[in-house]
Amino acid sequence: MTDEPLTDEPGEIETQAAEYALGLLSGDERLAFEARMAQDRDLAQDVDAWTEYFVTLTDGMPSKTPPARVLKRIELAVHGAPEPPIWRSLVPYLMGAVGGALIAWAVFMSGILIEAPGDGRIRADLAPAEGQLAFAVLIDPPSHTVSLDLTAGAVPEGRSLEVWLIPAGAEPISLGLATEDGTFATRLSDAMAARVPGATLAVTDEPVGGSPTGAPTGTIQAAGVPIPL
Amino acid sequence: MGGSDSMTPQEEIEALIARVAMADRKAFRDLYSRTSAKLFGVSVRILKDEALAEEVLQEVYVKLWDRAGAYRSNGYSPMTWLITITRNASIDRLRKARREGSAMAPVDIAERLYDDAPGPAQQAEMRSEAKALQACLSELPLDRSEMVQRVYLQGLTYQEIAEETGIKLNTVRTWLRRSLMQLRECLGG
Repeated sequence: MTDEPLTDEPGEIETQAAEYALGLLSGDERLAFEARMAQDRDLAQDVDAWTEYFVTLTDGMPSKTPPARVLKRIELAVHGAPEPPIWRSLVPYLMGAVGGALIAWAVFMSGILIEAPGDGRIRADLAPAEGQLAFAVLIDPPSHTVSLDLTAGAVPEGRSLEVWLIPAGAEPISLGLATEDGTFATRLSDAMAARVPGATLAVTDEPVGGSPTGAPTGTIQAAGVPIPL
Repeated sequence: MGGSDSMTPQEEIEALIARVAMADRKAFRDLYSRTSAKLFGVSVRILKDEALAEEVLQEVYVKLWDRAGAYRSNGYSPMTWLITITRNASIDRLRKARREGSAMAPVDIAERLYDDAPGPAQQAEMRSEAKALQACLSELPLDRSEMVQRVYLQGLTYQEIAEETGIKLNTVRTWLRRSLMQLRECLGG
């Protein structure tokens, strides 16, 4: 090394803090500085302060949106596989599902089984998943009716809420759109009702008018798994 | 959940980093969408090569996924931390490319420095650290102020400055260190 440490000069270590923040120290000098910084809180704060000043040299640099392929590569690198379809993130909910019975079922959410109110209907809550909405669910098994009411959160502006039934191992089936204030009611066909046990109920936000693809595309706002009794 | 309405942008990014430290993939994607354009902009501006800047961005976010938990251990604001990681990774690439002869010599890229120099209108909007640094840089002789900025923005080494200026390495170092000491005094350190 031609640039031997100049430890005699006054202000030496303080100047090294600036050199370190600029990336001008190399080799042994850098290691020695880092060792000292690890022991010396004031020195570490000096480096922080220099860093905060120098980083302002990038303030005028315009932002530039990177191509979409960059995020794909990053997610491949860190997660090991391409991001799966959005609804697959509901798989953990499905793990708790039990198959078998037919129409008599409750809704199970976040580990809490909520009891029927006593008149044969079943009441439950859909709790926030990726989003921040929560819904109260009312189910009347004999009539195959399912209704949802928004109990927490605000419907994202410029979006429609779409309700999905996701039978275990199958693609999500749209049950329809909720109203602007977050209420929803539908009467399931016999065939559809038969698929409910073990399935997940989910609410996503979608472009106005519903998913353009027929599959969920937006944020999963709330979800829960109905469990047969 | 909730409460995000009352958070500052800085707190929101800190909250995202905290969730990324817990391997929250959605938070990671949110953090990317909040910060990647600035980081890419910085890397493109330093490297002047979008393909290399894409590689840097990938390196930075992979590092971020692995080391988000380290964020709290330093005193930076989150954007400073992210931009510094990006600047350092970009400079590493730039230096490597220069060593391999595949990047322009620093002398050829001197003009780049002035692309980002703030004009009067921008100066009025600058944050206090930026104003202080610009004011103190302007008290240095022009060539030294420029050298400090090029070290940060182009990763010039003492060796490269010596080669470019024809001044001896130890002299260059003494000279730049004096400028840094002067800066430090001016900045109130």
